[in-house]
Amino acid sequence: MFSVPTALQVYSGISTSKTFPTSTGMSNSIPRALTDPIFSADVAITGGVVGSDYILIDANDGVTVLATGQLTSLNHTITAVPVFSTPHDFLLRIRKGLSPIYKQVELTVHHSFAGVSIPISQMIDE
Amino acid sequence: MPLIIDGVTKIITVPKAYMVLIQSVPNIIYSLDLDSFRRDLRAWESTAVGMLYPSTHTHNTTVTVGGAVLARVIQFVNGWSITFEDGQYRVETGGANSNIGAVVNPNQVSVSTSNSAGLQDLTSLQAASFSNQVAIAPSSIYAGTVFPVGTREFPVNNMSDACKILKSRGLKEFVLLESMAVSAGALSGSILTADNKALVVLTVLAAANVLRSTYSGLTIQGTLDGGSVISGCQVLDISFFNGDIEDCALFGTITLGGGFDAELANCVQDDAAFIPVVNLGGSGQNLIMSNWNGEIKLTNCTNAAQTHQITGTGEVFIEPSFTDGTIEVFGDIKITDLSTSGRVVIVDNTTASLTALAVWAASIRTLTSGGGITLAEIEASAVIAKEATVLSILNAKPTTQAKGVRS
Repeated sequence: MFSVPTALQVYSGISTSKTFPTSTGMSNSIPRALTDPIFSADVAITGGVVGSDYILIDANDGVTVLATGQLTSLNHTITAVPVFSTPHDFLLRIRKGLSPIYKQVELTVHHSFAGVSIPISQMIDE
Repeated sequence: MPLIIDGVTKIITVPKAYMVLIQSVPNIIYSLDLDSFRRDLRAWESTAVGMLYPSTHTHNTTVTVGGAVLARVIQFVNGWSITFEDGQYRVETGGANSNIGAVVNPNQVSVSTSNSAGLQDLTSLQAASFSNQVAIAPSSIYAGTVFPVGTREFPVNNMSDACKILKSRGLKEFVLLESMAVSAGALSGSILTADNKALVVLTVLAAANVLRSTYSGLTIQGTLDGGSVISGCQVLDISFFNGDIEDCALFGTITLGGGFDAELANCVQDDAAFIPVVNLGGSGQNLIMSNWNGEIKLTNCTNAAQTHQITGTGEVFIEPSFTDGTIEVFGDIKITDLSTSGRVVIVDNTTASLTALAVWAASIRTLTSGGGITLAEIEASAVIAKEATVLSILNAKPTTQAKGVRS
């Protein structure tokens, strides 16, 4: 399918991996597959307790897991977190269940093309 | 047995084996420590599966108000419920105020809570239950670290769990309710005690780390690690000993080791038919025995630089394996020298020896009074007389009862 995309389609409706730039500045493209992200960008978590576990879940369905792992430094960056649907929101859940235990942090975060930095503060739960 | 947690149905299943059986007759009662319970839930929440689901509960920790410590509060939220393994028994929850009664799925199990507006922190009450001791009895049915396991009423049945309880509670002392062998475990610096040394025998195996540990009120045998303090015990065969043995009855061989001195204070021979032995470990450590009472054998000293001091009442046998070294005796000690080789120095400062010298000197003073002999001359005569006595006694071996050197 070779249609002239709108500006919105260029950024949100069309797979960047399947976009063909033309000399006129417009793109010839095929529709984005449902499994393709709209975009991917880094998420930085600052101020977290090292050793805490995190999970990023798509806030639109509450099911799709975008990333999981463990904070390894005070400024932890999760690279290339994908966005699959609009609005570009995800649920960030951080827990530390082994001693010393910390209270859960749960936030809804709006992702952006430029990436997002999330300052957090955890409270001990002993 | 671990908890069974289903994130889909939001049901937490608590098996009987997860709890502590505190009564079997006439009714079966289990105890559930809510603080341990919620810690296990938090651990699950942090797992890969648990992270997918909402938190099981909220928790507010203890609060100190006017010197009183108010209990923690645990509230189950987000639709989670609790099912106890079905059966005819009762569960007593403790350790926190909670809404567990409101989220229990009904079955045959009876659940009682101890919520109270003025409920004091059970951690403090639990600490009091321990009386600063972790109780161990190998025949006990209780294992694990969840309160009340480790108290005298519910003694723990293995040393591994006992060590964990000791560490988590900040305690230092084990109380042994039965005889047992310690084969492993970091017991360094701990105190092992018992109520009755006639009933409790502690066997310390070589693998156990008991460096600088203290023992009291029990019968002890085995391999120590140095820096030991043994007080009020019956001492059987122990090896690698250095440190202090106080107010003990000896009934075995004490083998010194580690290169540090050993001190035996106020100790006695335990059995008239058995003479205890101190194996001096070749070289490297001195023996100091104060206020000894009874007979004792000294063996295996091979270093002329070692000096051993013995005070008290009784008899010391210097065995043939004692080849080099110095023994200094005080009080009312008789020395029987059975050594056959080497160079053993015996310094006799016993009351009998000193009295004999004093009598000798007084006799000379009497005989020479008015003869113009000075005090220095009298003392010189005493020394000559003493040496003459030494020579005569040495010639009359095997009994050696005077200061001298035999080679």
